[in-house]
Amino acid sequence: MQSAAFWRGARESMGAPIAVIAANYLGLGAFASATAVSVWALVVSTFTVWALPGQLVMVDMWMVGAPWVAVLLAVMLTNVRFLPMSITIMPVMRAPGHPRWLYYVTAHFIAMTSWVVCMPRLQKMPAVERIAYFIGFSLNCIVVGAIFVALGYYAAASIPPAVQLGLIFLTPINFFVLLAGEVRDRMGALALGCGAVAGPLFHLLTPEWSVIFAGVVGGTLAFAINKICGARRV
Amino acid sequence: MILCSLGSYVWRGLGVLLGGRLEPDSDVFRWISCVAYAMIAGLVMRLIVMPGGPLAASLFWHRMLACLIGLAIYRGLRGNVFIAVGTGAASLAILNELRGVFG
Repeated sequence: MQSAAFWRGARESMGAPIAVIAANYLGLGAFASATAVSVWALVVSTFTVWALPGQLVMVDMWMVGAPWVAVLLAVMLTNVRFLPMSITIMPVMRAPGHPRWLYYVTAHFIAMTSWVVCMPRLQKMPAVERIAYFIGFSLNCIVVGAIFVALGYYAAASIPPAVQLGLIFLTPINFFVLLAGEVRDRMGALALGCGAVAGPLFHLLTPEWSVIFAGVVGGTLAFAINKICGARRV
Repeated sequence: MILCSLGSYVWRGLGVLLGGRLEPDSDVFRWISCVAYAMIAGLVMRLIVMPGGPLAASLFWHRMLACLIGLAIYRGLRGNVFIAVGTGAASLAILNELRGVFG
């Protein structure tokens, strides 16, 4: 039952999510090939860090020889986004009979793609199968990411510029389509709208903190508007 | 690299700890979920409006048009992300090439 869910997750990750991850990691590999970072560091960090922006920051700072404390701090900062994702997806995966450690193992697999894609899908299947599905989905993504980061590392010089542009654009357009296409309720729509406006605005003020500020300020605003409208209707 | 791996995991693990104590139907939970969605929407919008690297050489309205083409196909095909995203990304590449041809 659960292994069936695992394989279903792996199978259903094939398609747009995998294509985007493959393209992203191809890009990271190509980017890193111009630095002194070894291909092994890229492959291993894909399994252990499993966060594209974090890995990008790591490669970039490694290259300029930043002190390890600064690298660690920067990587942690780029990954604060996992906290709200983890808090919101974990209750969805809870089911009687799962040991506690399983949740902590599962947490390692949380990333932007798996969170965005799986949040709506998980809620449509029986609770016991959700963790298996999620791990199958994510593990397949990680393996493909690791393969493509190595491919990108070695193939960097031979990708034509037009294709490169399309590849790089896959990440933003994928999330745009998934988020805007899957809005179901007013609160979700408000959160997306407020975030979409706040993101670029905060980037003008403070590029390093823009993601976190956009989330907290935009999200709080959306929550407040939703609350006020909800209260009025009752 | 080991430290970076741990630094990334801290947030995920902490989420399990905190997530276990929150009611999915409570206001706190709703607020955190708003923050999570707004954060991603903000990041994605920033990548579309003010990208860095090679994307910065393309036009803003080309990028926006490509996104809307992708979204329209996604809605039209009832959720086929692969075709929607692929066509959207390809249309940006084509628009950008055409710009080079016609000056």
